[in-house]
Amino acid sequence: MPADLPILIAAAGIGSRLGMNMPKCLVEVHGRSLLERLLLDVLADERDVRVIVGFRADEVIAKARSVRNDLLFVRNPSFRDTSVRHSFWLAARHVTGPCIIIDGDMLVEPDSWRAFRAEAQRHETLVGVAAASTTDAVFADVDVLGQQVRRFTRRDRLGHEWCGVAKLSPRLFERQTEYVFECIEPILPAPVFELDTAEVDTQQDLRLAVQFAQRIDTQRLSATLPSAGGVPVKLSRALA
Amino acid sequence: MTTGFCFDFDGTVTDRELLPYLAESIDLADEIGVLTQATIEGHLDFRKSFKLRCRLLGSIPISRVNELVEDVVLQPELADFIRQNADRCAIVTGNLDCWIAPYVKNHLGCHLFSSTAKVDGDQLLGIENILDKGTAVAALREQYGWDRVVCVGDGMNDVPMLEQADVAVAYGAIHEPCKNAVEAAHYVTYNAGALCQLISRF
Repeated sequence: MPADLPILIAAAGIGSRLGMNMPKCLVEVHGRSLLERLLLDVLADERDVRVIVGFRADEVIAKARSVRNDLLFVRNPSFRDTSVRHSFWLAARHVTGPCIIIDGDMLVEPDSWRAFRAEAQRHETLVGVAAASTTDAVFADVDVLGQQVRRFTRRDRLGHEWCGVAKLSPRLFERQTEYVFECIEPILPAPVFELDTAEVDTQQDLRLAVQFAQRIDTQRLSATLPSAGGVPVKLSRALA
Repeated sequence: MTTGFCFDFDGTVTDRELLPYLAESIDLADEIGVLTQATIEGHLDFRKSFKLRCRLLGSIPISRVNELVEDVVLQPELADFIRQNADRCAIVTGNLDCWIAPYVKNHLGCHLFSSTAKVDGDQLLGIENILDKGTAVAALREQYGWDRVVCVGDGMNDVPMLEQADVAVAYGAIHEPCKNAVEAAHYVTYNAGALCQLISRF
């Protein structure tokens, strides 16, 4: 695995839809924060991890540093008036090659991430989708072979949704759009990969995320206890 | 595009603040340490505090200071970056030329912008000029034709430098960067590897 592909984590937002008056990445699910889970369980092998901070930046930085100290923090002082796309632009503007973006308010099943990361080696662009489940989904129209995403739509209910993970050119964020998926639209169709994720935008999403976290924690525990027989880990490459 | 790099010295490129270390030799380490910390955090005006600290340390012969400074350990990754890019790197420090110029020349080989001292042989007489780091960045940009300047610092007196930078990094190597430095920065990091990963892409 190349060590220096920058991983950009958007963790600057207020998370107003969740209504907890705290950065969403600090919300705890099944005993640990989303950010801790992302940094430790998913991105432990990544060496160039950049966390974009804004809302209550001190707390986000302190939490992240308690997990690992080799992070680069990118400040978005105008987080109240700007979008996630702007946060990614701030972090990507000094990046020369492709980078991977991840929303800081999500859970990613670690084996699913590893599979995405391996597949990303083969592509300049790789768009992550997930089985549609969140309350405010941006649906992804994936071709029948499961190889490409053709368009995004909020109107048509489809089986997959944009999941907030992608390998992209940093130049895409120069486009003055509100949403990240709109930055990707000009390069569609693009290679797609199905990840096993849970995003937390609302209280309903949070309840689902707790179940998701319980499942991956159980899988992890089973993997460390050979006598338990092991729970099969789902490698979510169903579209292939 | 030519990119230049400006680094604070004490506690950014080095493993310690220099003045408290020099003060150990005249048994004033605690006193100078308190002054230094309060200055980094912005509770004391840098110019006044620096003048006072130099007055206290002025009894140490310059050659002895130069010997003591040789004990300073550089942050290895950052020092390697500076040596490999010496023509595009500058130490921008409020520290005195007579105290640190030989060290910077011998161990880093890069440009140096510092405060300047009035000396008589081996004796420090006083301060000739206290460096304004913001002015220094503008001068470096002009002098070397740098199109883009990346600045790295941690203290209150680094804020004018960070404000002049195209890319500003608050770097907490041995202590927390002060709040104003963080607020003037585009990036914040506490790790030399992460810092070098960022700046080596310019």
